[in-house]
Amino acid sequence: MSDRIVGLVLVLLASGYGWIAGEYDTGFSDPVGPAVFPRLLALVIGLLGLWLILRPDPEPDWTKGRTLALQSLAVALMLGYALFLVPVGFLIATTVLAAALAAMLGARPLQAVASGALVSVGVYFLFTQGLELSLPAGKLISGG
Amino acid sequence: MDLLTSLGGGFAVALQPMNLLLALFGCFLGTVIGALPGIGPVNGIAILIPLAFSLKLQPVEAMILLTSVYYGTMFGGRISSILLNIPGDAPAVMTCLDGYPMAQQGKAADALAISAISSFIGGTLATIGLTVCAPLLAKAAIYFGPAELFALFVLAVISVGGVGSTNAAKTLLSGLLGLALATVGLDPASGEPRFTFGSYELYDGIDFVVAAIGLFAISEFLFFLADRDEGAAKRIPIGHNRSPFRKLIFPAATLRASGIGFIIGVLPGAGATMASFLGYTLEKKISDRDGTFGKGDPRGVAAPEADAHTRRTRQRRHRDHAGHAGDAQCPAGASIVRALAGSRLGIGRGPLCQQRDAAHFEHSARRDLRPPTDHPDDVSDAARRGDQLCRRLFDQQQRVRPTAHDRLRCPRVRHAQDGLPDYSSGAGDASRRPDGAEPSPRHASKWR
Repeated sequence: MSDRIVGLVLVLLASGYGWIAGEYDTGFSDPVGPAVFPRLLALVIGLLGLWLILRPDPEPDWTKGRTLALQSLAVALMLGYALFLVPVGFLIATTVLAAALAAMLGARPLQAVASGALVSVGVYFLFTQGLELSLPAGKLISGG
Repeated sequence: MDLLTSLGGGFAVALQPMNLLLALFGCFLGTVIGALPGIGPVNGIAILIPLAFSLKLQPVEAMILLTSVYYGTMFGGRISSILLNIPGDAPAVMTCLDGYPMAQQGKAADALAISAISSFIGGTLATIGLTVCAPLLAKAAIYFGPAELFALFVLAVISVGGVGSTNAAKTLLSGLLGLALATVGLDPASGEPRFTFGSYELYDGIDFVVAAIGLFAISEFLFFLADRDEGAAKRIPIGHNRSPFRKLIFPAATLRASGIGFIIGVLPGAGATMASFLGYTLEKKISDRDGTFGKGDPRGVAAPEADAHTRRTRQRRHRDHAGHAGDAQCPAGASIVRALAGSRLGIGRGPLCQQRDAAHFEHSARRDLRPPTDHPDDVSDAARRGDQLCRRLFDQQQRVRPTAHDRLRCPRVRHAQDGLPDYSSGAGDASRRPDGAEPSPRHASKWR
């Protein structure tokens, strides 16, 4: 069943991908054009997705209950991090994420917060001061 | 005889105590930087170019330092591959496949040693081969055109099948999804933005390093979470290396892989990632009789290592040639910038990126204007055109102050402001900024 769901998602993805690709213009100077390669890919991905629906592998062992919830929470946290990194700023976002992930890996609350803050501040200074790369400061600090 | 004299001269310079120290320092620094997931040789050198300028190094010293950093970052990338199952840079992805299982079996020290030894052998062989047959190789490389390049990439895609697991359809699907991800961004041929959904950030495309690290790191975290929750997690034991030396070298695997790396390295356009990929696939086909590859077979660590390093030595060759021919006036700066251009890994291309980032533009312009040959005359001509184009864009860049958003996204703009040598005036000093001020990374602070 899992493979069939994946296959279905892939078929849908391939159709959407191929459909969007079809809108790209073929330039006058370029006989191949930007649409051909994505359409080719979409065709093969779609066919292989169908193949997965028709001939699925045996069901894999899914994690259950608490473990699955933990894993979903981890994925949600990482998505949230990506969304909030720029508005909230690197320091706060990274502290929260690192502390939460550390707690999920078994650190005690105090340890988790401490390691989160340490990682965040350490990386921030390493990158902004040591390596001269800029990280988002966030609207709370810069006021922008 | 000519060769020996030149080599003698080279060694006389390289063996000076100060230069040896610089090499040691560069290798150490590079290893530390490379061990950070996602920061590979290209980023490592880009980050450290300001250091070379602010230390006021002579061109030769700067070359030695940055080349050592380059080698250091290459090896550093393996550390996180083997210990964390998170590739440090793109070519280290193949090292994950067998390196991490070895670490799980308590053989982390062995895996690191094998990786280092194979890299050393591959790199040394390539350097020797390069010294002896560089002129011959340059002649052969001229005949490598678009058709041959296409065939090479078809070979790489086909060999995906050799790496995969039990279900061939799934292996092929993951390869195709990777290709689909790679089509995001500006189409290299027509400049048409594809699958960007109106987001300018996506014009740059999705970097391979980002995809690979996301895939390995996030899945590794989720696996670990499940293992811990079910009480199966165990710490990776890092002990001393107790294996005798002869068990750590795999002459056949290393030699085969060096051969592949060297051949692929001659071809313009194929990267170290492809070399390590093909090396691993070949080794798996030849010596995987007991099905141990992917489960911690030391040969699986040795092969891609030797491969990637052989290939990378070759990358330096491309860059050095261009460097000699192109600019008598700014040896250090331009050669190093070409190090970035030559290594082709993770360098964004496309107009948007070029507008935002003068340094990036420089790489693309030089690469794109350079004909796929190693004829010094052609190269110098192309480099000159590239220089003029860069200069124009650099001027535009100076006039257009970057917005807050640009600064956030493209930090290397600052490096460009600080470090880009003055090509137009012919003043001949790579370390001067275009406005004549002394170079210093601290000038960058005004951009914050």
